[in-house]
Amino acid sequence: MKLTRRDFLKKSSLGTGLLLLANTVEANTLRPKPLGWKGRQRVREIASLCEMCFWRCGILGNVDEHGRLLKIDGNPFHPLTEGRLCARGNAGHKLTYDPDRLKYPLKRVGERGEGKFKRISWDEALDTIAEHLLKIKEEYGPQAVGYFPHGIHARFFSKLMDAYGTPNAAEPAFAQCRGPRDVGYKLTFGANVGSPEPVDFEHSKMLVFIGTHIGENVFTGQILEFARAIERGVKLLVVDPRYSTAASKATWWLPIKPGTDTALLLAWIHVIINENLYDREYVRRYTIGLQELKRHVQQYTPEWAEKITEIPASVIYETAREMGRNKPAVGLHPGRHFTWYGNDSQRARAMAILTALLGAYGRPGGIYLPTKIPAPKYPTPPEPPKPPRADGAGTLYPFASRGLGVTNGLIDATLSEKPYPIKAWITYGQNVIQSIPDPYSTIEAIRKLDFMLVIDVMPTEPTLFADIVLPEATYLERYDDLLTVSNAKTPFAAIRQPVIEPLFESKPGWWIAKELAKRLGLEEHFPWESIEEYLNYRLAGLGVTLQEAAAKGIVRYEKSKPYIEPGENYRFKTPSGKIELYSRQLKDAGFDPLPVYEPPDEVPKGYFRLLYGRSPIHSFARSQNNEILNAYQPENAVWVNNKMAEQMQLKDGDYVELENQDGIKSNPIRVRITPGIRPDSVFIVHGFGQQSPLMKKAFLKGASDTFLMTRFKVDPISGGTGMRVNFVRLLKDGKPLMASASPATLKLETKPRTARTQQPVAPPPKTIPPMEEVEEEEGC
Amino acid sequence: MRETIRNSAIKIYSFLFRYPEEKHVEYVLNGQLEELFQLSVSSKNPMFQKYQSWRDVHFNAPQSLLETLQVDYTRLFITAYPNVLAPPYVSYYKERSLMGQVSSSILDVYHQHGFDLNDANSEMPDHISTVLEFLYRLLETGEGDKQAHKFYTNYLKWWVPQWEDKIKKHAETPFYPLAASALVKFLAKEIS
Repeated sequence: MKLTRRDFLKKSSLGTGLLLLANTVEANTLRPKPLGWKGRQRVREIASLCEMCFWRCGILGNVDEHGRLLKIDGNPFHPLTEGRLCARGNAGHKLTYDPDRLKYPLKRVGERGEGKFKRISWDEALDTIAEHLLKIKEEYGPQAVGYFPHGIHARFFSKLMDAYGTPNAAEPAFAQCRGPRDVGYKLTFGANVGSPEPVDFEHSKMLVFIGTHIGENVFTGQILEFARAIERGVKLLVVDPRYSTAASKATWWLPIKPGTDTALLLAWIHVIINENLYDREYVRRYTIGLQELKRHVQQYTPEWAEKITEIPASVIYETAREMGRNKPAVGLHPGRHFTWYGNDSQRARAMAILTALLGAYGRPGGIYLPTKIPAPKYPTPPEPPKPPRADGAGTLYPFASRGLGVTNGLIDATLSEKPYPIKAWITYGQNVIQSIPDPYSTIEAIRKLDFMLVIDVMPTEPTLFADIVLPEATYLERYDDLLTVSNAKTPFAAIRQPVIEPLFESKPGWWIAKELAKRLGLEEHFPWESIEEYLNYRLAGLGVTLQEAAAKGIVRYEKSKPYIEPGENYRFKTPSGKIELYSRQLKDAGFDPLPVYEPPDEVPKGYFRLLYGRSPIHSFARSQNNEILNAYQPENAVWVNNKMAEQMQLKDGDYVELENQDGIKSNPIRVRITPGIRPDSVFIVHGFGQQSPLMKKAFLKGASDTFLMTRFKVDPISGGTGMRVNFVRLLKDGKPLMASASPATLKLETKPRTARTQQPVAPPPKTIPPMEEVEEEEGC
Repeated sequence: MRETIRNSAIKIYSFLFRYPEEKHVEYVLNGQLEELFQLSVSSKNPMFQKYQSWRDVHFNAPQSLLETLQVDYTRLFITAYPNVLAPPYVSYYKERSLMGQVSSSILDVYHQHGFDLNDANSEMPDHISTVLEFLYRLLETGEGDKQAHKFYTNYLKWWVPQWEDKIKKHAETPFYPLAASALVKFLAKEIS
């Protein structure tokens, strides 16, 4: 080989330059440590709260001498979960130690959606955010910032947003989950349902689940109560188009035609009133509107309902009478994910009315009452008056929560710039692309923004569109606000405290909010030096210090009053002070004062109604990257009725694509053939197939229900998005498989969101009080 | 002399796999790193030539080079959606996790030799940069090649080729593939 002169010089001097170079670099990742045996240190158990989903079960983190989390156990002192933990809770260490977690603040350097970022310092990140927020405030006003939070860790940042002055905070927990339920129950009883749902499992003689999937939607405490009730021999009535885990334990399984639940409820009310099965004394003392209700339901006979619901009239009579026999100890579960068909507040009203007729609200075996925990609220100076909301909460949707907002309304406002422009979004632990239907419009809205900030622990789809990404410490690495649980027979406060130090440069939410507040000139809204000082302030109301509470992580509050005493002159927080069977509030706002059944769109020929639900192994779209949980359930499957599968010549385990009524196709998804689903519907678990056509990256297997939801129907009372209004057909090798239980043709009354131009209307009459917010209500 | 060069090289590699700063750009542009890479990779290697052309293109734009390196480092070693592309942690290759059992063992080894993580080091104890710095310090203390060889065998040898493959597959600049490839070969040659 012939060497050039240049090569020769290089070879001859090889190494000498390196010595000089080595002198200019610092070796500073390590420091000296004195040698010496300190004795074997014990594994420490640190009490805290889980956050693998939103229920916040009690945990004990086991930490070794290196500060390494070895495993997570249940906290036996937790009054509801009693030391139990679900699969997700047990896999929590894999979230903290996930190699993909967000580690440092990031700044976008590529196009929105491209995913091109560079690491930056916290100072640069916070300065950049402050600069944008101050500029937007000056040019457009604070209302030009839309804020999408989730969970109690977002509370400090929510305080910052309040202080900044934007009214536009919106959580999918309301409009994509339990909003219509809370509105319907609050209109009837004057109080939100709260979390966990206060069903008195312990004393119920009969439980009634209407689309409630306990066992699939897992809160360990509720599972425990449910299991004990089953063991005790409680009668269980499950209404569900699918043979769910709960249905498998049921005395009666009513595989109802989807979308017809209100018809069934009205027929039950018909029987209970006409056969005098209601609690006469309770209804006389505590309710108003019985006569109007009685007249109203005369038309809704079980025979009428049979034709609509496909539940035999004899079964409707039998189950109504059984409820009457077991009153008031009938635990009619209010449900949780409630945004189904766009008339959902009225379904909630029907459920609440049925509960009231049975005398079950505030009575043993029915729905017990919450107990307020005397922890003082956040010590804050007066917040600036807020401009009107852009999302229609309180105006277009008169009974929507003005605290939790209407996410879809905020997206509409961002797209239309009506009633005013929205220039920035902040998402906090919230995957707005996966949790809100019609993600295509969501992405379109994001592309219009001047600035987007994402705060999270994992990179999710919205991260790709962010200008700045902030890495929040995981739930195992931080203090959060005090959790107060009013919906418990023994109410309690619980603390989330760091089990380990935050990894990398991730920071707790309270620190992020406080540091940003300094840069926005809002520091006075964080009038405490440390999080410990703040928590001590709140715990003082319960007579304990943080140090005292830390060992068990729980402070029990024994002074509960779960039931209305017999003959008690109990005042409900409705305008009349009574349970409002007939709702004047609804009447005054131009809605039906008594629930009316509205038929859903029929399933078109060749299509199936797309139903979706939960898996006990995964939380929404958040846990699919978790190594352990992914190993248990790496993909979802589509449930197909066995007779329909036979017609389509499908075999269990085949892969198909789902194509919706607008031609949107899913990833391939495995077929699960079962008689446990009605022939007119298919079912998939939510949260899989996190692959946007815009992202062009193969990610997780399975199909995404959200990306098939190009249509939804908005509940005019609450603003909640009915999402079970989409239809799919099955494709194999790209060709549609024709089979259908329905003769209807493809005719759609719902419109795609992109074709909808809803504008906020004039405010409703002043007689409508704003919906009160409940502190513990974050998350769904 | 050879030991001194070897130790210096490992010290420099430890620095190279930290988040890029201006010094990294300076070393790329003034050609100093080529001497390091040539200890284990021939200058005729196509990877090497690609690196030199890339460097020449950036010669007049040091600021854009810094950002280019930072973006590539971020997606390879810190965060990418949905998965980080070439995790630089020992534990990942053994337990598909951060801070696994092997990370604990590495910390134990550091402690046994009188070292701990610097307070300003926000990385995992088994990050490639920290592991290389420990190897360098081990060699510098004069405790000899035997200890270094043991550490290399236990905590580097078996995973760095996989890591190198990931970098080669996903990198957008020629810098990290060459640096990783040169490092892997250098360790195999000098520590084995």
